[in-house]
Amino acid sequence: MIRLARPRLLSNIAVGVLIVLLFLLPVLYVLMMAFETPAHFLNSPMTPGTPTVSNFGQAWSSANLGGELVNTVIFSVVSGALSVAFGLLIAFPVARRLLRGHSMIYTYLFIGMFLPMSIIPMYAEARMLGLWDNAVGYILIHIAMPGLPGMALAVVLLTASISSVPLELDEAAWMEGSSYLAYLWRVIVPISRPALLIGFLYAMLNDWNDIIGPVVLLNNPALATVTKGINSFAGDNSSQYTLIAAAVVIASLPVVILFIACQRQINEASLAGSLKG
Amino acid sequence: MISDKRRPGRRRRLGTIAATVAITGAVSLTAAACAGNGGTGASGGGNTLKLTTWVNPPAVAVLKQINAEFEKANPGTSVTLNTAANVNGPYQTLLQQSVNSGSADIVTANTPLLPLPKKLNNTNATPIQLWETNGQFADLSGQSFTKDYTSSALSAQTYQGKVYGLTSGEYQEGVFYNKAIFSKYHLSVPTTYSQFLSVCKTLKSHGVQPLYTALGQVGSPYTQFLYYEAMTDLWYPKAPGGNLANAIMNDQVKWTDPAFVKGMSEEKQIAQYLEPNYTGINWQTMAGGPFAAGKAAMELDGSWDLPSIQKANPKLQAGYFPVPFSSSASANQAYAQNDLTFYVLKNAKNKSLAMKWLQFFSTPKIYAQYVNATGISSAQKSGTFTGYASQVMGKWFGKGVNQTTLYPALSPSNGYYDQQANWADLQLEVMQGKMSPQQAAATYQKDWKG
Amino acid sequence: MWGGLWLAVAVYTLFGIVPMIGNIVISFTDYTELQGAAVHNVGFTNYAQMFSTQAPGLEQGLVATAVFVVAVTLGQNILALLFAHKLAGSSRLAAVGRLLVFLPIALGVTIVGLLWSLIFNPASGPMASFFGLFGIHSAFFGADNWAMTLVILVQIWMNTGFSTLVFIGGLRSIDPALYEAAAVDGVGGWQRLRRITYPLLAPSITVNVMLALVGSFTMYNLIYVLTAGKYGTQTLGMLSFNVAFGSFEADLGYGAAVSVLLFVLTLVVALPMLLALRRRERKLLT
Repeated sequence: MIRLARPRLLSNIAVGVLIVLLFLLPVLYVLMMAFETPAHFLNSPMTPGTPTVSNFGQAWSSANLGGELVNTVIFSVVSGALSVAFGLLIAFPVARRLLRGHSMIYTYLFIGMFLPMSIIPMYAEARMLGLWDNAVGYILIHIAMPGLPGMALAVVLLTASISSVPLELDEAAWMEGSSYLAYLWRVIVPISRPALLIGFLYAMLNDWNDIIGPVVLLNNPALATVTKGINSFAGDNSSQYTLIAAAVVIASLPVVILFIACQRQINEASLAGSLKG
Repeated sequence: MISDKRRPGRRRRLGTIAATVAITGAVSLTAAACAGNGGTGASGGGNTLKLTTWVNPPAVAVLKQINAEFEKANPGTSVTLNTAANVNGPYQTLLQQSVNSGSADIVTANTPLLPLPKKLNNTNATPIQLWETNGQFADLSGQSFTKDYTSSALSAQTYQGKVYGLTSGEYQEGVFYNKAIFSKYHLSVPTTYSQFLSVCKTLKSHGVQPLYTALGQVGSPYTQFLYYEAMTDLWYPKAPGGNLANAIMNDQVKWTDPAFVKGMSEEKQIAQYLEPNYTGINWQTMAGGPFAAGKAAMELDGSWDLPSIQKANPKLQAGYFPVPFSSSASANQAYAQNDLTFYVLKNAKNKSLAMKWLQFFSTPKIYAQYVNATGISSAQKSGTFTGYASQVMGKWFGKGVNQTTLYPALSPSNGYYDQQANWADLQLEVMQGKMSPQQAAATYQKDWKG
Repeated sequence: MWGGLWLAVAVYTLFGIVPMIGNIVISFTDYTELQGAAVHNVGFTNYAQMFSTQAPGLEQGLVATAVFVVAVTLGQNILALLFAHKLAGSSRLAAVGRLLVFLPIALGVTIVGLLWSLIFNPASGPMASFFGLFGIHSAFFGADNWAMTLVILVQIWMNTGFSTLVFIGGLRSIDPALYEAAAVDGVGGWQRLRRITYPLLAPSITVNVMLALVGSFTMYNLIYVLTAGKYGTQTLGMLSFNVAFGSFEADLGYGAAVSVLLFVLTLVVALPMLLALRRRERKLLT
């Protein structure tokens, strides 16, 4: 370990404290609430009492959080992945200027970054195409829904990233007789990993945080997402803070675990960081 | 590039991620496709009734019980209940979506049909008015169960001689008070404005929180606990034809009416006795809050919260009186509004089952079960109701000036959500002392389109 | 070979562009979603209504949007730069730090909304006790003079993690040899930051500024869960949502008109900004 100079050490500690205060404390507070008895919380909301797990049992049994979490994960992961995959299919020919009008296509996609939510026509369209109130339709729509610019961002990031890949690699692949998709998969994907992962995370998180889509584009309660479920649950049990806190902990636990499990991938996403424009 | 020796490992991991994503994708698409088929199969069947309503815990709980009893009485049928929160949009969206897609058989709402705008069109009508006047709902007038209901309940949903909705009952708004606290300080129920203020003052002098309400998340619309009552007590008695709503819609009276300006200045006085920061406390937490816990002497609320208050503190001895705005006790009336109303979609897949459900709902035993559990008063001609709400409301139970004759059904062109001139926002500004009653009235009248 | 390209463009057109065109069309009508009901061309009525003296929410919406966008874009990027600078390392502590700052966005907007509502609950929340120590009592998310600031802070809190990740990527892509060379030349501290880090970070800055800018312009979901646009927090994104969904008096044409205005405003602000950032990148990198 390198010995740190004093001011540097102080600033490190300051930032560390800031992160703990801003990011750890709020989470710990809610965690504490989740383990409180309602009576204790009502009388002394600031201090921990004897921990109880009864809130968790009650929250789990009175809401369908499990099913809703599975839905949310499937919807956001699949449509996020498809956004990026389609983004790549556009970005490569555009970055390589392989067809006429490549810059027009780029601009066309770029506009997608700025589109605001257009849920009313989206709903009408979904009804017309038979994509309303079913999972496949929901996922398809979320690939490029206005206001959730995952695909547009993927195109922007990937075009920049692919532009920095030497053309010689393409040529070598043509000589080998590698197919286009195989080449994309074997060469371009590994090299553009950072852009792919940032794009995927962005698209996925946007879908994850969509609050109006689940209400307008879905009706079947079996397809409900956790954003809708938690909202209803909080309304149903509005003054039972400890119960809501328990539901919040249950609903976020899988995400946190997923995130810790993917920490290395996310970390590596930023390793090479070729977000050059 | 960074450490080439790590490359193969990283590539393998990438492969794993990609494979996982691909598999999840494939599995979920297949699963979804199956679910989709199953779903349409079930909804196409003749024995699943789909009911859509908003989250109001006591009502949802009793509807679930009723559905179970209906299923028992009609073997082979099932009833599904789809709900969404009624604060700031989710239910309104679910309702629109259910009506437009025909994905429910029975939908519910509590927005009034009447009075209709003079020249009804797409922009000045509320969705309920649009649906009813455009024949989206089935006509109930030939159904035998309608005979059980009062003519005023039926006429509230009647358009061109056809009844499009079944009103389940009325809720009331006003003051709920803690009887134990009142007797401890030797207070009697106030019947005039000055008595009410002196009750508040006495409680405050003893260090008791006099009045409680919560406007967090919902914001100004629930200042209606005060302004509807102010209108009822001071303005309504002077309305031409005994119908203030119509008079306002037809510009026979103005929002700047001195009677109501007086009401607003009284609102401001009363607001002093509310707990601090009432605009930041989540509206949905009100029922289980300090009033139920015996820490506040009175609560401004609607009777729909009574079952939740009872659940939060079964021992609480509560009573009711309408907020008295007038100095004459006889002018101080309660405010009432038609509560949950059932509509059968005209193109419902299970229309006959929907009618059968409404018939079942209307039978005396089931109907009493519903009324007693929800805090509303009856819309049926007969029956005895002994629920918690009837005990708390006492002589006021089921008595009040109904919204249909008090207040217009505001549509977008009336600027309901209009920031510069939103009626409810203006009331809050007055209550918080940011605007004088005269300014508020003038501001709203200026933009009023009738 | 270009089948994939055209398929992707088609999906984007169908689900991204067509709805936006639909929005533009609806903004000129009195559309109601009602099946079979006549839809009338109302010309510029919805736009005229927006700019008339009645102006439902427009003036306040413009001010709120401007404040929100500027504060979030600046705050989010400055904080993220600071965090990225400290958390780019490979130590375990840095990894924990990265996890913590990324946590909020992974929790999702509904949970974030509930969490901060609980913390700023004016009756029993920890922040009420904390500020109470200084004699400050407020309705927080229900107070005109607090709500906007708090909403901005929560938005920054929620999204800083993502920006930090992008910045860490940018920092790590800087060749360590450059720093070593600088050290040999006796260039340190501030100079090193100005001459190496800052220019080479330019692409990440462009991405982050654009994402924060566009994100805060069109955002409505977080405001929805915190205040629903009440108490001075109704930005244009929130307004267009509220007009169309927020009450039982949905006015879809008007909501669409607001969202078209929002689109134009976003383009007008973001495009020149992007061009400027790109130009700056080129200048710094060559």
